[in-house]
Amino acid sequence: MTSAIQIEAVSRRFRRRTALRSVTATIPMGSVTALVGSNGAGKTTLLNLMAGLLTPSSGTISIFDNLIPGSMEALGKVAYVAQDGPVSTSRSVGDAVHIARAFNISFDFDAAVLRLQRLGIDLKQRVSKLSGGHRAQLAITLALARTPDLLVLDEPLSSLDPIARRDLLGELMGHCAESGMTIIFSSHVIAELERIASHLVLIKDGEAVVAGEIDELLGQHRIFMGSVTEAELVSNGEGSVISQTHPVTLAARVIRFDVPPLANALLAPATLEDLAYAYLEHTSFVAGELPK
Amino acid sequence: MTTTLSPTVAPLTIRTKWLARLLPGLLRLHRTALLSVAAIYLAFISIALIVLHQVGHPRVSILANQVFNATLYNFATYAEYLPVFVAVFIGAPLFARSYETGTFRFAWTQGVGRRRIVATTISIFVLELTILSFPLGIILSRLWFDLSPQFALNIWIDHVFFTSAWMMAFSSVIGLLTGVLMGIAVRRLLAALAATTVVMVVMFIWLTWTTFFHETLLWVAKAMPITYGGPAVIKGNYVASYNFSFINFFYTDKSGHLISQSQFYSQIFPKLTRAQSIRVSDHPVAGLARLGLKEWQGALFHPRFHEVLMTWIGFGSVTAIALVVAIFAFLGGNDRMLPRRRHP
Repeated sequence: MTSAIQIEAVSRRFRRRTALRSVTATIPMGSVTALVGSNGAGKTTLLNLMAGLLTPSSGTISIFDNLIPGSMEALGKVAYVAQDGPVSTSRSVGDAVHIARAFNISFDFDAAVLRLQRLGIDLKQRVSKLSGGHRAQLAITLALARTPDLLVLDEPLSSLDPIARRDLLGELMGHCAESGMTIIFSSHVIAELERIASHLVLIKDGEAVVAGEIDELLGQHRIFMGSVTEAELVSNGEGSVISQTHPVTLAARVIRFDVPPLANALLAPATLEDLAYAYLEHTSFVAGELPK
Repeated sequence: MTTTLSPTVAPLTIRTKWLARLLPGLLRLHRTALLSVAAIYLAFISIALIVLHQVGHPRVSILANQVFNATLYNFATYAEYLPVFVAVFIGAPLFARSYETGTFRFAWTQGVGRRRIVATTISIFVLELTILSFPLGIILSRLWFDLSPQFALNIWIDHVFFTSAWMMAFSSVIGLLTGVLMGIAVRRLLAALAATTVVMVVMFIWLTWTTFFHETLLWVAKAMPITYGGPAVIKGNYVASYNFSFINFFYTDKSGHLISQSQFYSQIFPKLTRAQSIRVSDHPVAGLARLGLKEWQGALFHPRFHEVLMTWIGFGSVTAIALVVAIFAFLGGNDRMLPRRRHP
C-alpha cells in the first residue's frame, strides 16, 4: 500500500519545550488512522505539521509522493479541521461557505449547503451563535466539500453528541470507501475509534510509542490477569509486559508478543482500549524499548 | 497547434481563476473593515468639501478657519492622523484577530495558500486606501491653499506635506502595513493594538520632531544644494522656513546646527554687542546680513525636500518594501516567501 504520509524522525521544538521527539510513522493511503495520546502529548503539533501550519525542527514529513505539507500542491489535496476556532466567527454560516468556496479551486458548494441543511444549521445564523457541536459540524462540512485526498481532523468528536459522533464516523467511513480518501484524526474517545480506524498512532510525551495497523497490533497483544511478576512468567521471555502500574496487585496486564505466545490459554485478546490505556499508563518507558 | 499552446495558456488560466475566486471571498470576509475605512475617509472628504463649499469654490483660502466655521475646518485637518487610525484599527486586527481566535488555521490551510490570501488581502486595502486618499489629499490641499487662477499655484506642488494626495496615500498604506506587521508579530489583538499605537506615535513624533526635521533639512541642503533654489548654506547662514500659514526663522549656530528663532534670541542675541543687537532688532534682515548671515530661501525648497527624502527614500518605498518582506517572514509555514529559519 502506498503511503499518504511519511514521517521520518520528526521533532518539533517550541523555544524551550519539545513537543515531538523523533516521531517516525507511515500512514497508508486510503486508511483511517487514529492519533491517540494524553493531553499535551503532541497530537495537535503532529497534525499541524501534516497540515503545513508548522515546520519540523528536524526530520522530514511528506505527503503523497514527497509533497511538502503546506506547499501549494499539498494544500490542494489536504483539508484540515482544527480543534477550536475553526472558521471566522464574526460571519454567518452562509458567508463561511462562500468564503471557503473562494479559498479553494475545487469546492462542492451544493454538497456543503445540503449537509448543513441536513444537520439543521441555518445558513443565516452567525457562526458565533452556533453551539460547539454545530460549529464543529460546519468546519467538517467545509473540509469535506473540498473533496480532499487527505482529511486531517483534530479531535472532531469532542464537541459532538453520541448520535452525531456515530453519524459522523459512519459518514467518514463512507467517504473513505467511496473516494479512497485518507483520514487521520485525533481523539480521546477510544471505544469509538475501533469501529472506524484501521491504523493507530499512539503518542506519549512527544514520542510515537505505537504505530501500525490496528488488527496487527491487537494480534500482537494479549491480556493476562495477575501481577507483573506472574505476567513476566507467562510471557516466558517471548513478550514484554506493557502495563507496569500496580506491579504487585491483581490487574489486567497487556503483554506484547513478538512471536505467537505458548501460554495462549492463560491469555485473553486485547481490545484497542486495553492497548491504548496500557501504553498511555506505562510509566517506566525507555525510549527504543517499545515497538515503533 | 492546440498542444503547443496549452502549456502557455494553462498557468494563466489558473492564475486568473484563483484570483477571480479569491477576491469575492476576501471582500465578504473583510467587508466590515473595508466599509469602515470607506466611511471614515468619505466622512473627512465630506467635511472638507463642506468647508470648501462654504468658503467659496474655487477661492479657497489658507485662512478658511478665519472666515468660516473653525471647528469644521480644524476637524478636517485631523485627516493628518488617519494613518494612525488605519494602522491601529484596521491593520493591527486584520490578522491578529484570526491568530488569537485560531481561525488562521482555517484560512492558512485552504487550497489557495496563505501567501496569496495575505497578499490579496493587503492589496485590497492598499487599493482602497489609495483610491480614497487621493481625493481627500486634493481637497485638503485646496483647503489650505488658495488655488484660484490669479495666484498661479499648482495643486500637485503647493500642498501641506502630510495631507498631500501622494502623502495621504503613502502614509495610510505605511500605517496599514505597520499595523499588519505588528498584528502578525504579536498575534494578540490587544497587544497588537497597543504595539501599533506606540509605533505610530513614535513615527509621528520622529517625523514632526522639529530639531531632527530641521537638522535633516540642513544636511540635505548642504549635501544636495541642487535640490533647492536658494544660495548655498554655509556655517553661520540663517534659514527661513515656513510651517503652514506662518513663517518660522531658523538660524545656524557656529557648529552648523540649526537653532530656532527663539533659541537665537535667547542664546545668541544676548552675546551680541549693543550696536549689533540694535541693528538686528530694528532691521532683522539687514542686521543679520551685517553679522555675516545670508538669507536662505527655505520656502522654495520645502516641499521638494519632503518628496525626495521623506516620501521616496525615508518614509516611502523602502519602508513599504521592508514592511511587506517582514510580514511574509513572520507568516511562517512552508508556504512562506522567505527561506525557512532552521532550528539548531
